[in-house]
Amino acid sequence: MDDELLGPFARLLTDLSPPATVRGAEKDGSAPELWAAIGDSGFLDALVPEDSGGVGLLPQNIASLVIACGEHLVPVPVAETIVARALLARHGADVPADAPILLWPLSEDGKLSSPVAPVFSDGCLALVQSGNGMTLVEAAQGERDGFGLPAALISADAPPLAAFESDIDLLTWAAAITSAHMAGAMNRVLAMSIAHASERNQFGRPLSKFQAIQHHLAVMAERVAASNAAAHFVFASERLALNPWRAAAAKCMVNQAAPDCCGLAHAVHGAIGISEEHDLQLHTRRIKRWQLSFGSEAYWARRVAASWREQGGGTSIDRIRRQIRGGSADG
Amino acid sequence: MPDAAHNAETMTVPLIHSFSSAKLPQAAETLRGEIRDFLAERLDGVSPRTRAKTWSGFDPDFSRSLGARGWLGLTLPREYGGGGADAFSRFVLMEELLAAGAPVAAHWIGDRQSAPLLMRYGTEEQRRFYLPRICAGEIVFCIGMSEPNSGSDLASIRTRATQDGDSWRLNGSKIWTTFGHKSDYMIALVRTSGSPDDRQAGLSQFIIDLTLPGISVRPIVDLCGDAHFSEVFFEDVRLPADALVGEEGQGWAQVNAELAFERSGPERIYSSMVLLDLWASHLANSPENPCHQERLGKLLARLAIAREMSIALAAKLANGESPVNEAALLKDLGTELEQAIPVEIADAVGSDPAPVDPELLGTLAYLMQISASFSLRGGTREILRGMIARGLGLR
Repeated sequence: MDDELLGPFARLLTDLSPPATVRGAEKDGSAPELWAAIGDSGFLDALVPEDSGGVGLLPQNIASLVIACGEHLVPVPVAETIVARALLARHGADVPADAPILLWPLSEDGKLSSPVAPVFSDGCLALVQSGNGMTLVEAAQGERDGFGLPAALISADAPPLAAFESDIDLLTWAAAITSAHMAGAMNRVLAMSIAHASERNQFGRPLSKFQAIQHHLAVMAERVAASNAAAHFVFASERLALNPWRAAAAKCMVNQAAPDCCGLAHAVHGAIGISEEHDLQLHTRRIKRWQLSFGSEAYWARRVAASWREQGGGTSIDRIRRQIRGGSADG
Repeated sequence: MPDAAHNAETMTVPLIHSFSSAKLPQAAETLRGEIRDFLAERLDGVSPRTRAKTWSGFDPDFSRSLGARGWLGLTLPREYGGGGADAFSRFVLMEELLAAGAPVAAHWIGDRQSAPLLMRYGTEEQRRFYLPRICAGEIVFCIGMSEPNSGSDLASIRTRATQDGDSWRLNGSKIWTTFGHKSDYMIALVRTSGSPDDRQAGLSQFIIDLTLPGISVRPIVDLCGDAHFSEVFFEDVRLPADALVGEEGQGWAQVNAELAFERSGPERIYSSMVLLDLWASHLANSPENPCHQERLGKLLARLAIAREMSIALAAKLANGESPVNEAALLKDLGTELEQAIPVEIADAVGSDPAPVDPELLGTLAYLMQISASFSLRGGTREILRGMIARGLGLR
């Protein structure tokens, strides 16, 4: 099911989310043609049950799709909107026709649970969670942040377009989606590095024939393979509520893998990789922003390690097995 | 429309999608309880410092009792004394043995490598002779690959078997042979034709009874003071015709299949588990220290994902595939984690000048020293990265 879906979706992204579109959207958050095509495809209701007019998929079916969004740096919040629409539908709230929806989990002090805000997308709304309370509000375009991207912002007194209670944790979802996006972008970074090393000649032979470069690419492949495994691990759920420990472990692991992947990619590319006109920086810049989004490795590591302070005893493996069971497809 | 360059960048990279979402089937999980009960009894009172040796812990009695329960040769057919189970069951068995720090060395090589090799390349007679005894834990195997002048460059070996009537005459030596001095048999890669210049051509595998005249074994003491490997000398050793394993001249291909068995198991992520668990339980019983919690969490996150990847490899093995390059990738990643565990714990333990529990300190000291071997045994880091590069299409 995964693959049948992914093929058409990946083709759509290849056609409509090329680097030129990504660059354009970085300026003002707009990619109208892409957003319209995604809306027409029906993918936005992937997690809405069939009897509510959706596709009726489970989180475990959409992992590859979210990874593909990261691969193409899709400049609109596809995965976030899929989750928000499923929540709105589940709670009988009106689902706004075509708006992109950002996930906006608040911490206990009422601030966004992330030092960098979700990236603004033209006409976007935000699903805000405070405790169990969810409200849907309009978002606005804020200042361009230190990564050159337009951050979204919301106003504290924005009138709610919908309001409901839900115990589904948006921070868990945001961390899961960010992990999968990072894995996807890392896939592309590796592919670009292999392509560059194969085409570029130095000392009379392709870079890819030098053992030092081969080992760089091998280490990258390890990081990328592990990050993809982590993305599938966190989405492996048959319920709309993802397992929070899996999300914590996935973001913690992917965040540890990302700097090696980006650093080695730039080492392989040399100076051209840090030039504005080369596409490598589009990906590595975004990965670095994602490292800061919705919890760093240290933040999630504390959650992961809490499993050793819980009852039940046993080894680390016992604790991992116990933690990953809840809410997942593993039963 | 995308241009050609953009298309080149959308190519799918091999290897990286091979580790996604496999699940341990319930049938494999049912084995876990039995193994745990057995281990709880057998390892009761064994210190962490001793358990930390795990696959360097040599205890033939322990191996025989695993054999008596049907847990050696778990994936071999029943007609040869095996368990007829799948790779998932073997994963669960290995996971429990290694997490507990069971002394598995006496059966480790026979169970993991020699038996599958004989199953695949041996004659029916060889299978009937060796496999039931491996499955019972009665015979101990070692592997003869490295030589004094041939380490990673395995194709340059010089030990030679020459045909002599119906039999073979063996001369040369092997080194770094794990538990060669405590083994009954060695499966060795030797040259049967040509010269070292012929590289991979002209190599063959023999199963050598280590009690034969002309064989002498010298244990080598390691940096921790243990003798877990040895040097084995062959002087005019007469090997019977049926000592040849598989085909003459096909030794290189056979050895690579054997190394795939060696590299693909969960043992490549769990070598430091006894230390990790010992330290984590100390932390859990101490006032919470955020720095230590972060260190522990980062290691556990890596461990959880490496475990998922290992289960995905088990799924490939259960499916009859031979994921050689995937196994190399996971081994390199897994040994990095095994080596990071003592590094992180040493930093944490040394951050406080207060006295440390002697058992924790002893276990830490052992792993700080021996962990260098984790990325040497079964193929060095550099060899593995070359294999990954090949898997990526760069060679």
